Amino acid sequence: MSINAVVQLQQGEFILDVELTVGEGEVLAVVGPNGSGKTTLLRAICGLQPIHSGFISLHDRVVDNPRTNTFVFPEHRHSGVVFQDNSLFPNLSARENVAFGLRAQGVSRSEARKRATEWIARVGLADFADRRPSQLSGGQAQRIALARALAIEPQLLLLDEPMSAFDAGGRVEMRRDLRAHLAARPITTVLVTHDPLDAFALADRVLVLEHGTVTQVGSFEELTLHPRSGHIADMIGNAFGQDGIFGLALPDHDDPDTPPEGQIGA
Amino acid sequence: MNRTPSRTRTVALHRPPVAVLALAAIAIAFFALPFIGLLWRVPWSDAWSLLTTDASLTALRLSLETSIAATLISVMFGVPLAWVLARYGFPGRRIVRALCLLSLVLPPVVGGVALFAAYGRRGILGDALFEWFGLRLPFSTAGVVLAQTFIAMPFLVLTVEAALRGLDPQNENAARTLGASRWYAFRRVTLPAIRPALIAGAALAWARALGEFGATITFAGNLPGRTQTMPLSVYLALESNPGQALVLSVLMIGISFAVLLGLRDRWLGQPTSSDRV
Repeated sequence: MSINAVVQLQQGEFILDVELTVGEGEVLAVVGPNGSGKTTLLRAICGLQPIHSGFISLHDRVVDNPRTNTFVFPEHRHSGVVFQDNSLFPNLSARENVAFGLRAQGVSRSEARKRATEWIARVGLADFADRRPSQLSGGQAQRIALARALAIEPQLLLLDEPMSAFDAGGRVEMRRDLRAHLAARPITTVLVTHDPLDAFALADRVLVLEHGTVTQVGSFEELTLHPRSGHIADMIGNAFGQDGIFGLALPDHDDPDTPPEGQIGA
Repeated sequence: MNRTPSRTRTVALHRPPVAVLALAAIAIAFFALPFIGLLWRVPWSDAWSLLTTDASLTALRLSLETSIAATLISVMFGVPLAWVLARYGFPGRRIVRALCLLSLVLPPVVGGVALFAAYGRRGILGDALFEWFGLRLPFSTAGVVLAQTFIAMPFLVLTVEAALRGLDPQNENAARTLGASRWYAFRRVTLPAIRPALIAGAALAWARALGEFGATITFAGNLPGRTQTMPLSVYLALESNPGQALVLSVLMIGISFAVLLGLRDRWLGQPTSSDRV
């Protein structure tokens, strides 16, 4: 099992309590409304947020367990993370950004540069390697962030709303590229998104998080046929119901209180 | 009818009221007059010869050496101190911060007296320093550096700590997930991000060290060539050679003014956030 975890923590009033398993090479989408704890869950897995109880085991190695006082620092968890705001280093060029992880892990300057250049070509931005993040569009920056995460050849890929920086057209394209990347080298992936289309296009399984707890886990078909909460039904209805055109990005609609037109079940 | 809006039209829409302008003008005059007076009194014809007397040059050299040393020490210890104060929540942090910044608001003479109590011949550390290392800090050049560091370092700590607090930790987090140790992430990500603040803090500390008077004369005395820095020699020259005091004063004002102007245009004028789009 690639990820096996019981994540329990409290932040003020908010309580996150999630049980989670992800198989080797599997892509799990974590979907849910804003404030449901998706990003916190991701931060717990990559080691930026210690859990208060439970445990996190990555590739059969316990990386966080408050009871045994085990905590592995993020730099030793071998997880490539793409953050929502891309978090590129503003003082470094795109190439230096991608080379950063390799350099931090002791790869020589020339080797890191070579591999970074290859990765930038793979995400289709070879001509932009020497640009600063401020000279890239949101979508380009997000691609560089993906290249940076993949360049360290992580055992685990964690994506936090990787499409959020794209416009509708770019989102479809990025989704396709991401799919190709994940197919080319199977890597255990957790994809946090509020867009069910992402889950549909990329994930093997979907975990629905609402108010810090899991309301449903299963394949996209299962969720569609047997939605276990009003939110899930709304979400899927919203994504596919309005025009019924798959792959067309629709306006983000997170609020379960205002049901969209094409609502199923609930 | 001409419908092109005139670009030269100015309206007093956001201009402060006249009373405010008047009071501000008085404040500006209050700051400007002493310097104008100084420039007016300086014996310009003898300026160069007064500036290049042995005594002046010795004081100038000593001042530059000690203030630069004090700045380097301030950076070396002040950055880690700022890091701890900004990021590490230990009990009593507020008290520790207040303690470290105390010399900002303390009369420097009091600072000098306190240094005596610590490193003086009969101070808590002074005795040990002499017995173990043969080191006597009072009335030595090292003592000047110590006094200047004591007074100047808080300027750097304050500036760097504020920058560290204002920094979004997200980039550092990203660096950690990429395999960077805390130290590597600090060096490659955090330090570049706070560089403007670090430079500004170091410049302020340096200017403060250069102008240090009270703690220095109390703790290190006034020995030409060893502890007599520029401000001390200005004070002394005031009685024996007013012309020299004026010339040295103008020099120090020039240096300080240049530091402030340079800070504004080069570093303070460019917030870090501008390149973090």
